[in-house]
Amino acid sequence: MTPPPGRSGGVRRQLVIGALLALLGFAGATQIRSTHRTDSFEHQPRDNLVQLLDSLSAAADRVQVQITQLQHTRDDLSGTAKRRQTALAVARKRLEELRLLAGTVPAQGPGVTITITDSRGGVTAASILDGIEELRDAGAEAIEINNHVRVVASTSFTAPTGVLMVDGMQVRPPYVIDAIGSSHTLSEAVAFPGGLRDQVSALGGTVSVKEADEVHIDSLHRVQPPEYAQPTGG
Amino acid sequence: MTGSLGHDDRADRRSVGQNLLTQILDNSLEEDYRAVAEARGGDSPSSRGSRLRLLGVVAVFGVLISTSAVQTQQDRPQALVERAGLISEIRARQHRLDSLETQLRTLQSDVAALQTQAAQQSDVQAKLSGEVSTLGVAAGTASVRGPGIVITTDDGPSAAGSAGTIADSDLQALINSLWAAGAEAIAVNGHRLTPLTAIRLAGQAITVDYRSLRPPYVVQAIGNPNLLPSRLLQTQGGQLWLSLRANFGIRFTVRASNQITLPGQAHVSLLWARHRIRR
Amino acid sequence: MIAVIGLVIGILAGLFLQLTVPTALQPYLPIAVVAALDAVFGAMRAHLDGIFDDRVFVISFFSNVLIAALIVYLGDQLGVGGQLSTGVVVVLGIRIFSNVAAIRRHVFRA
Repeated sequence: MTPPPGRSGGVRRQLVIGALLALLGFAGATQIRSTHRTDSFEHQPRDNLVQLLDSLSAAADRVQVQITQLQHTRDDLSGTAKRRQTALAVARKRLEELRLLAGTVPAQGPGVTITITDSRGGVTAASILDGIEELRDAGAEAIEINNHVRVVASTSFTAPTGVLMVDGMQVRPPYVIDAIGSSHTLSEAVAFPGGLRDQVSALGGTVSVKEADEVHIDSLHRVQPPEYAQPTGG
Repeated sequence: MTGSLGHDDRADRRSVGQNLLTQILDNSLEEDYRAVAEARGGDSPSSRGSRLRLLGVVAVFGVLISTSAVQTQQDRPQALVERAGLISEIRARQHRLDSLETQLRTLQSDVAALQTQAAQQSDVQAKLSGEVSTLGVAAGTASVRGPGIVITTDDGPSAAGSAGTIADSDLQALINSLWAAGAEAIAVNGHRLTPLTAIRLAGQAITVDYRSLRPPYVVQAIGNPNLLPSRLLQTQGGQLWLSLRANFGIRFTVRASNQITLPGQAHVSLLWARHRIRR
Repeated sequence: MIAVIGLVIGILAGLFLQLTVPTALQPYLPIAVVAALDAVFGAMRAHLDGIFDDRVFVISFFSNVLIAALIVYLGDQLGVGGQLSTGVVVVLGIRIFSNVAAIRRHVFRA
């Protein structure tokens, strides 16, 4: 390899060797590149290809099994989800109605606004209670008094000091009762002989009834978690 | 290698233990020619017959080569076709595997989403049912159990006339007083009171929930069993009933109970009222 | 010169006739070709050495082809046909290389 010093032939020999090595390098690099570039199985022996084919089939089978299982799971889940969705929708509707009944949400709907004046102070708690029962009897679904007390199942009407207390809150005349329900039935119930109007008149007050397509009841009843009454789950 | 190979020479090499490769190299065909040439003594015959023989053998060689080449050429397309079929089959299966895996991933994310949804649904359901049960107690739709009092009332002796008969307003007053005294749930003769329940007089009978009741009227109230009786008697309604008992012989007994079970009223759909959403 | 003419005639004949080799003989043809090639190169070397003899050539040619085919056939029967034909090709290849190297030395003197 070492060129004889001082001879021009040495340079030429070096060039030839260099050129040949360059050719070798080029050929090698090209071959390696072409081996890597082309499809991985383009240069593989037939047996390898057959084996590859087999393992591909096996992998596809495995995935297919997994897919089938997952499809079952998905169908189960979506069936359950659909049933639950229905159950939830029912529960939501029911809850909405319970909230209206328990007075925890504002209500609106057709109904009546009843105004009871009591200039002589003769109207008693009992007569107001009787009026409320009348409205319930006529199908009132939500009731409030003087725009700030919601009347629910447990609402009490008392007058320990002569002033009407509804659920412990003072209510002064004129009493304005908003009730949601069939406005016609409600107003008829008030006007029924021996009903609220007659009773109040006998006590020296007046009753006026106004039917409305939209009665708004905005006062709310605070529901305390029961201390003694435990739901039995039935 | 090109040197003459005498018998001694060969034997010598063999004894040394020639390896396979050098043996192959040394036993080139040319050796036979040399042996024949030595035997003949140098003169190379060039007769007509020998020329023809040469021609024939070389021609056979040519036929061999070309036939072999042609054969290989013919075989190649077949091999290639088979190979191409194999490769295209591999590609097809890879494609199928890819699409299956895509399908699998989609399914996996679907299932995960459904599972999340299920978890959310059960959260919502738990929250809803919690509120439903709390509100159900207040609204009278859930059956409840707890301590409380049982009040038994009955009309007075028939001699007392209509004054000895329990009126709807009496019952209203009693119920009203029980609520005021802190009752949490009330039932009259097994009819749970709800916000929609009216206690009315219809004809001669008292109706609760549009059902006629007959005396004795049993009022069950769940609440603090120690406080309910005393509070009840402090109310106007309580006083009213004490005087009814004293003056008209109307039956009115209050008894505390550790365990009262009240049925829930069947859920009634609301026809008119709806949730008012304030904006 | 005669040899070259013979080769050309043979190749052309093979190409024109498009002989179909029976399937049973197909594995032996390539080996036979390589064996023949060995004989041909040996002959060329002998020719350059000035010791060529046509009888030796003919005998070596056919015996080479026959023995090569026989070995492969035997290998096939023993179930090692592929390996044996590889072995034959390797041995013949080495001989061809060594003969061609001798020819090269004659022609180029290097």
